[in-house]
Amino acid sequence: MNCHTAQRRLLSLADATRVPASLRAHLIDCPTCQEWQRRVIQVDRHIPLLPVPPSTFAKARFLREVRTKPSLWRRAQDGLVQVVGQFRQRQNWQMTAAGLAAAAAVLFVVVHLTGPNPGMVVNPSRRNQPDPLLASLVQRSTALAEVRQPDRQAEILGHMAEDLRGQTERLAHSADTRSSQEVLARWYGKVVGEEVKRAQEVPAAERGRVLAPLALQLAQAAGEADQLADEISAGRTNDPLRSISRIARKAKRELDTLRDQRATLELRVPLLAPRLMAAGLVFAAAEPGPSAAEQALRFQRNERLIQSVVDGSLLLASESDPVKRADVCKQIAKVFAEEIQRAAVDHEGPRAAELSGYFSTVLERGVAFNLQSAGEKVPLVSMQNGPLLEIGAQVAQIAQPLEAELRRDGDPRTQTYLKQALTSVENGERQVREVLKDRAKEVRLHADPEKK
Amino acid sequence: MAASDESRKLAEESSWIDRAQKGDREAFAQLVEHYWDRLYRWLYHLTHHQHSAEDLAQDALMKAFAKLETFRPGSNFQAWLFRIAYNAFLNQRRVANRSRSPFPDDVAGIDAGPDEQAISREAMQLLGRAVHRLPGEFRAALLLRVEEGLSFREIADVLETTEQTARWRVFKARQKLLSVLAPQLDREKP
Repeated sequence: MNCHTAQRRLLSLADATRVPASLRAHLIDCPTCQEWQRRVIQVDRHIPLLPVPPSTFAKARFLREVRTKPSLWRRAQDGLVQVVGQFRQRQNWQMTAAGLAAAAAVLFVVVHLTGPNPGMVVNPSRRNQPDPLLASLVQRSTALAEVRQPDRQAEILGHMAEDLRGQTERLAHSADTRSSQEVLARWYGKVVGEEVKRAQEVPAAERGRVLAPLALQLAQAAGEADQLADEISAGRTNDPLRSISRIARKAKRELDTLRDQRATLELRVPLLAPRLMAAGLVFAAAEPGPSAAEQALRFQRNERLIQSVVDGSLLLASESDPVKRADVCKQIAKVFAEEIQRAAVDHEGPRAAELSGYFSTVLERGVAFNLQSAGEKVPLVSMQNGPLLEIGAQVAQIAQPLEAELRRDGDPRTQTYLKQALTSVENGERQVREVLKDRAKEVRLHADPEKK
Repeated sequence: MAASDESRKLAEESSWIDRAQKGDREAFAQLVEHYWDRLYRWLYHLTHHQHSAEDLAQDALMKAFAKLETFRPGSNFQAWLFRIAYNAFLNQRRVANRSRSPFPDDVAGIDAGPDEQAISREAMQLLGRAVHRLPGEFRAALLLRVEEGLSFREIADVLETTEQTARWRVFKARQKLLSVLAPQLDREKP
């Protein structure tokens, strides 16, 4: 091999520090090519050190929107129709005229090809799809189960309120879903009410920092709810959306008072609008999301579960005693267990698997976490262990019959799902048992000293 | 240890993807946390414009979010995401004509590793400008190789070309950089 060939080979390697044997044989005896290799390595190693302006703020802003805006999720998943409607109303977007013209042309085609049909019968394959609202609310609820600081609680409740508002807006396109919208708007009111109560507990010195984003979130909520109500009203009123808007405005005023500010209700139009457009454009190439009617049916199917999660969350936000918090989470888990049982009996494997995942999360992050927290202040041998162990026993009473049902031989088509569901349920119960095992052992020993 | 750490990270990423595909926004936020900086950095080098890079990073992540259900579990998520970003970059280049920012010369103290491998501040500035001036395709490929550690196969997936072309682009990029840096490195040679 000559130097020209060796140097070209070094340039085309994935990693110049790892050379094949034939090339190595040349390098051993060639200082010129050794220097060449050294320079290739130097260049490769120094490129990652080239400075780049930080994007900390943009990243933080985007993450905040991913975490707090269910509208982001909803629009990306539903495709273009809502995005088009909202995009027309936006004032503050940055797409160039050429880009807008191109996008509009595509939108015209896509809207006509993929617009939802509110009267559509539920697609059986969609029936088994996970419910994003339920998933998100369970995450919020278990987050509340883990925190006691009022600023964090207010923030999580704000996110929860946004989840509920988002679902209301998704249903708003169909008049047949009015009763579900009303339920959601009622829950929104309760959650925002609790959010304001938590905000009142935030120390005065921190209110400016903590409450400003919450106030902005409420201002945006009010604006977006009104905007959507205007778009779809066509001569009729949409009370749930107007109600949400009123609740949000009132709450924002209360937060502003707490912050001692006289901010006007300024709507910051998200700069994400062109990106939502882009996301919608991309999604348009895929299958359209569930229609408002399908979403309403899914909501009705899960309404009891959602209600238990929302009600439980409100209790968690206002309760500081970890034993009581564990009990609240146990109650939520119980409602899930009943639904899982029903799904297993009805051979709805995917549903059983989905709900079991939430069940496990509630037990682990809600019950076990708070029992652990309570136990930190209670000696292993103490009368105060009674309530903790009682909760553990109740969890076992909830989980064990459910496990028995899931183990039952049934329809082979759902076997895999039921196994998955069983694993989740067992995992949740085990988390609780693990937290209490030493205490339970001490109680047994004291009950029968001869076992020591 | 490094191999097990790598497989742990991959398992974690798979879990986020799986959960995000089921509607878990927090899982998607974890993916954003994991990829934003690298995606932004690569896009900055492509666009030479901070806000464009930020917009494109956001755009790419939103698009990935929207079509997450089309991602095949087990395949390379990073390559998939960067491909989306690269297409967004190409689309943006067609419609916009932003002015490029000059390469930032405020290079801080450099410490690349072993003392014998470190290069001077002047050489670093020269390197930065040379990378800045590389043709876009060469630059994109080179950065995916040396910053992201992608294989030539994966680079080809991102840039929607062949593995041979990906290798050739990295070759040409390095060749160009070395020719620009050679005089400076000769001066610095002990």
